[in-house]
Amino acid sequence: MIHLQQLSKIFRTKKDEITAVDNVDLSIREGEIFGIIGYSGAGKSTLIRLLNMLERPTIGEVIVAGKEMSTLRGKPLREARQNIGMVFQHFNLLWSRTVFENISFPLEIARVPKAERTKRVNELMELVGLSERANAYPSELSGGQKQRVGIARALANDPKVLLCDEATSALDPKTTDSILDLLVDINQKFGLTIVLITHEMYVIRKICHRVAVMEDGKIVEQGDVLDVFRQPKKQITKEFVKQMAEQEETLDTVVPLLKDHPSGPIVKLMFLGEGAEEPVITHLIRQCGVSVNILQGKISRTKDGSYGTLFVQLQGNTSHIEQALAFLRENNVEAEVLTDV
Amino acid sequence: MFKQLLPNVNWSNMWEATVETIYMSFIAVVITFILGIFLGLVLYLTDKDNLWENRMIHAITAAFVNIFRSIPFIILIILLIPFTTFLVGTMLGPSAALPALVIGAAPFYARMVEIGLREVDKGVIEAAQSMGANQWQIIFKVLLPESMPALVSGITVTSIALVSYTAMAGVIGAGGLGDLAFREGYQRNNPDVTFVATIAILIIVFILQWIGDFITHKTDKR
Repeated sequence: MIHLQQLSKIFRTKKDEITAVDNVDLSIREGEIFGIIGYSGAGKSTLIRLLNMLERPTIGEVIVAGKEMSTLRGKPLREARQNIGMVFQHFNLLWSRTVFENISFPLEIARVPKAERTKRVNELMELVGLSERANAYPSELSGGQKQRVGIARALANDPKVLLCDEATSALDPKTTDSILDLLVDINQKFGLTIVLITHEMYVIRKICHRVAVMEDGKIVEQGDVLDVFRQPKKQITKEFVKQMAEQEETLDTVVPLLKDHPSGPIVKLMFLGEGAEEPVITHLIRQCGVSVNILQGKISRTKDGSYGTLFVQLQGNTSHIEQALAFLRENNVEAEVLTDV
Repeated sequence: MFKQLLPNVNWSNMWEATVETIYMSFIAVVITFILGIFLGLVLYLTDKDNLWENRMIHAITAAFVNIFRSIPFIILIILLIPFTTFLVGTMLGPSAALPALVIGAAPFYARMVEIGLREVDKGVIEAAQSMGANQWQIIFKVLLPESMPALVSGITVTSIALVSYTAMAGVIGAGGLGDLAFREGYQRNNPDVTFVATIAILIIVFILQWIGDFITHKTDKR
């Protein structure tokens, strides 16, 4: 659906050059949800804007739905853009228009006749669950509702691709979940290809099929979400995986635990995917002859298994404990002994 | 009672002058609104990083606007005498004041339009572009509607300035309340005429302000 070839974007200022996107090759398949993760300044915002020519590439090819976008200008480009919906972090709704009129806006641009517009807008409002608020202005909506309008608007012209530019970064966790559910729903219902950029690991874990990790304008790692994050190769990917597993567990909360439980090493277990099922702990107890005292932790389920951190105390003799740690590593659980903290 | 307090006021002349002032102000406001939005759009769109980025045109428009905004109005009228006689055929009567009024007010309003347009969120323009909007759609469906409260409050301020410009234009023969206050009130030493003319102008200004505030409120959904 989308092919990027040796794509680069260089911003030239008076003093120097900034390479925002550096020789990127990427293929995104039809019907998949593809995530691009990176810290701010990694170039992901520029990359997603290269897909619909809001930024023009310095070198390289951008092919979306069979069209070589970078050769298009004027009317053909505007028509091609109608096949690519875009959702923004700050929603970018027209405050002077109601919900209904905002969703109608792209249809007006595409010169859809009025009767058809009304019908389509009503369908879309239904889809995103905002039929009740048709005549409300954006200023009267919550963040989540605004983003629903943004999504409905992006879908108005039946696009083949939906680009999401940090679509949930301005929302609270609960609203984020509901917006992500809506995106999955749309992806499944219409087979729509979704490209999203984010700095939140959570978003990738929850809905993406494949992921690319971006750093300094380059894609440093890509592949199936599970593979990339089960065996992260690059430092930055490891950091993102940690961000997911650690949640809010920090060393500070563990220190008091060490004082209260002196009889055995305290181990921090990080579950990164499939291994995070209860049997791991059960097997640990049965096979290694240690007892496991669960102190603290948080495990959350996502699309491909469970993620999270568990602080446990292993009790038993030294050789059993050694054996237990080896067993954990074999089962894709990262174990870190904290006793000497 | 009016006769005793205001012995020198000729009410039918006063009414005629009021109508002339309203006529001059109204036509001038309409033309200024259109011309000012046009100039403001040119200023905004040709500015750096905008749709029609063009240094040359921006610099020329900005210079034109700055020059005509800086000339004191009374001098502008005199400078424009040849232009006005060419355009209207005479220097007398309310219509003759219109070229000077518009040329004096439109640049002033154009700057306010430019400021209003700059307030429009760039993200919204980007969103419209991502939907495949052309530049006219961006201008008429995004830029102007989204800046409407600023455009309306700007034209309110400008129209009040225009009313006072009409008074100055009156002095050189355009008629209206300014002319009446100057010739009948000042030159013939009838302070009551000046007083009533002032009240009439104040009423016009208050009404304009009220209408402007009302529309600004109505259009502002932020």
